[in-house]
Amino acid sequence: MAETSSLIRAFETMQIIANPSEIQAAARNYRKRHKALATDELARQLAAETTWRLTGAGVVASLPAAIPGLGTAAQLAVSGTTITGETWLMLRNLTTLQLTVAALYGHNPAAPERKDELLVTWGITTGAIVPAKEAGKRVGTKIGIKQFNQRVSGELLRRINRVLGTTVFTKWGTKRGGIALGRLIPFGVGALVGGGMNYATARGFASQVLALYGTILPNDEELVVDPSR
Amino acid sequence: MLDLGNNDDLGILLSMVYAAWADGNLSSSELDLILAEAADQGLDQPEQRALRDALLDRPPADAIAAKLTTRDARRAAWFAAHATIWADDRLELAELEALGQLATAFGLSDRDQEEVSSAARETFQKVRAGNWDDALLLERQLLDPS
Repeated sequence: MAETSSLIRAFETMQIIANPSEIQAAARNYRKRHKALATDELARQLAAETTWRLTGAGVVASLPAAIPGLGTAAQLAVSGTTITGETWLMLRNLTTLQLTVAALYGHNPAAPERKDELLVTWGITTGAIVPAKEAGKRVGTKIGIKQFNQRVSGELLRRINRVLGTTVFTKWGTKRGGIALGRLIPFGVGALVGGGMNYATARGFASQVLALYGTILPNDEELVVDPSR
Repeated sequence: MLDLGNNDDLGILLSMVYAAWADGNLSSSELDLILAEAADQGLDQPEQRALRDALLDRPPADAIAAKLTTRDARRAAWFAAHATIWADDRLELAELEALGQLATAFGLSDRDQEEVSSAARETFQKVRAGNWDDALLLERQLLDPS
């Protein structure tokens, strides 16, 4: 049996993966509201709409006590770090976007392959995985998308997890830890690093989701897992 | 690779600053929200300077519009401006005027404005009422697109 990614296990622990039946219902509802659109157009429209809405919602989520109760959940330990409510929200909503697009393309959001595809999308978004046709001279291990989880070795999976874990959790997850915002005005803004929901992240992730379900998966394209990362 | 500090994200932040300056001063709740968002963006040094300057002196709406490269980025920025104005739970005429100035500078159509404004208002009201999951979770929004 294929090894499960630690990233996916962390996503499951933190309830970042929404209920598949709600995803299916959301996709059905969206298709019903836009009957005239073909699947590719429907997915593009959902991605575009979601990008600006989620960015705005991310700002509202930054209001004090916007997400009551999540404070505790957001302190879940992940590889020795913690995530904030805003980071949790970003990961949850981008994951939901991916699964909804998958459902629009006729894939079952509850199928285990969807979790492999989550790993692939984050891998492409962060550069740990590259579509073979775009890899150029980069040397890596080629893997057919449809056999991703069966063919990726335990060592490669650990490497992918290292890159994704660093990017997804450490870089975005530890923002503002222990920093008193009041002392940062106006010259200390530069001390603020990290990240949660932002437009560039949402747009980049959404475009990879569209590429995955619109092109890479239907054509059974090969991916290159970069061993140097 | 992820670009956490691109112009769109800076433009969104500056839109928040523009809106916050509308009534002539930055309230602590508005400032807290802007700084919380700044923390989310991973700004590089020139972008940090631009934000610092904007916090000290209101940026022109046209200059903000020039940083926003897509229609969706402009819609996101306008949404963020709404959230900033509502952060202190007060709405003044000057703030409404500021939203209008940004909408004009961004070239948002009447339909865009109606769509973004109602999405922002509904999100804010639901969050304030404690229904954060209905307001902020994508699957709930898609199930109930009211």
